[in-house]
Amino acid sequence: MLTLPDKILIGGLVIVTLLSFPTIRHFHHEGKRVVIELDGDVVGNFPLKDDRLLPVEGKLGKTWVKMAEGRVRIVDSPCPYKLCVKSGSIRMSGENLICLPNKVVVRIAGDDGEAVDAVSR
Amino acid sequence: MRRIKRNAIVSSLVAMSIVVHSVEMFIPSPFPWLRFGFANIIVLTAIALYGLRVGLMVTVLRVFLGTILVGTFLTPAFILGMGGGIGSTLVMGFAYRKLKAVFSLVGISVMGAYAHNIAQLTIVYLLFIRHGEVFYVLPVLLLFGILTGVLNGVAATYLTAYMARFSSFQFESIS
Repeated sequence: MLTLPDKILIGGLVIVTLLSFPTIRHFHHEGKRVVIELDGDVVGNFPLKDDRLLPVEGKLGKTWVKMAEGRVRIVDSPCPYKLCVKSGSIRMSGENLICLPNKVVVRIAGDDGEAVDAVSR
Repeated sequence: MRRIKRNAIVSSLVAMSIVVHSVEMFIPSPFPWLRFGFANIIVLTAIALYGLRVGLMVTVLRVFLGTILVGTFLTPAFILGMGGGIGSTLVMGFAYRKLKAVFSLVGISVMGAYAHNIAQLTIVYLLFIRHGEVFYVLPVLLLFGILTGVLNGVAATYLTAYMARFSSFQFESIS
């Protein structure tokens, strides 16, 4: 049923596809900036490479955001289920950590993150 | 008479592809976007027996009627189904027209599956999610698509041979 060109085509496509696994990573933007939002307002914007421990004062209390080694995670939060803490750490553009009860969103932006480099409340 | 026969053949092909497509919905998939695309068997058979025009008719009618049946008419699912379907049908149709001496239906089916995935993801990128990250799933889709393309191509080979035996399915150049 399979002709020789068929086999060459299928083998070639498999090889091209397998090679595209590492190649496509280059299209995936490395995160550049950490944007922190409280109740929809941007309250912080920092370079991802910074090492910081930030308290974000929400309705329920302080949500602690830790930035270290190019990764961000929420280390403690006053919310009941601690889903944001359990979400672990993020580093790629487009990823985010959300604490719904305390209305805190931590997201990673690419190069186009706003140029503000401080808490702007 | 030829018109009636053509309409009857196209209708039965459309009916077959809707049934095959609906049955596929019941096969569990770890990801909703990972599908077998069994409707491609019918489209490829239509192309092999009756040409690209009938294949396109089957694809377009299948997406219209299929989405009306399951209630996703004019939703993103409809747009994606239409885009991917037309993309793969065109590729398979032209490939069959120009290269049928070189490739078997299996090879042409794999080309169709590849085109389907690329067309669909491009539409997702252009219309829905304008984020380069969308293409992150492309290698997974393409790899799975090659596998399903081979399966569908083998099935289409048998179906084409089977249907060619019946005079009721024979039609000299109905396009």
